[in-house]
Amino acid sequence: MDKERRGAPSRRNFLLAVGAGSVAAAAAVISGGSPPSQESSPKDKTAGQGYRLTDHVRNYYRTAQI
Amino acid sequence: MTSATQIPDEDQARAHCYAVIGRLMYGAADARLLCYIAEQPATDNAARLTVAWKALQSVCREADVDQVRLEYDDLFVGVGKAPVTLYTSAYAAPQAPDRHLLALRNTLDGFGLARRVEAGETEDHIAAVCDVMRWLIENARGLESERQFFHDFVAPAMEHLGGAVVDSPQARFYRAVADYMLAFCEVERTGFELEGMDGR
Repeated sequence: MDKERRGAPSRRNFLLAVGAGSVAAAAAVISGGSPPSQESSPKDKTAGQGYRLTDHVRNYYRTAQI
Repeated sequence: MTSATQIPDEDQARAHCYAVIGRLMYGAADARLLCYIAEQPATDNAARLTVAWKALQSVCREADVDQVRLEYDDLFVGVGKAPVTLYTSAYAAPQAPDRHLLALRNTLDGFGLARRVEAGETEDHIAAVCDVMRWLIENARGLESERQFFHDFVAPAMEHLGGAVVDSPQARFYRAVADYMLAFCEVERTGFELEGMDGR
């Protein structure tokens, strides 16, 4: 699936303008918060040191097996 | 599971904000978390969220991990009744917290989520509902699902909880955390309103 634009352009512009992107770009380094399938992504490599912010909290929920 | 890189940057950013807030509220910040937050590059932006982030970075730089632990325990754990509860049912539905928790569990069931057996906290812990928002975003469950969950189970509680921390004379490090959380909550509210205004 392509990286599709979700929602209204004004919403996207707002989120980018208020620093959600820049702030959370920083947060991304802290969190290393991508799913296991993303282990090899550049973002995770940048995170480095293997510090997983969300190890405590992410996967708090298990996905029910269907 | 949908790859995180398939969602737009601004939504990945939102997911990470929820991850940061969730982690900050789940337990006292440890030294590594303090260092990581402190070391992030600062952006030059006057938005409330950015200002709050920079202030959080500042307290992280100055923080003593033992003091942070004491403050966390004093605020959220306490002896007897914690001054500020992290369980959102208490804020979202103070007259009927059990009903709120049941509604939350039903909603989670609809998403195919259930609390892990080893998780000690109930599903309405602020960190847990933040993690649901992260999950909804990263798994592209749709803005409508996110908006509904945000309004039903996140926003009112986040605002009351954040306000309680800000008002607490015991809060110093966690006041900065609360300011960041409140700033992000406002961003989310506005974001969803903008979505609604454009009639999508």
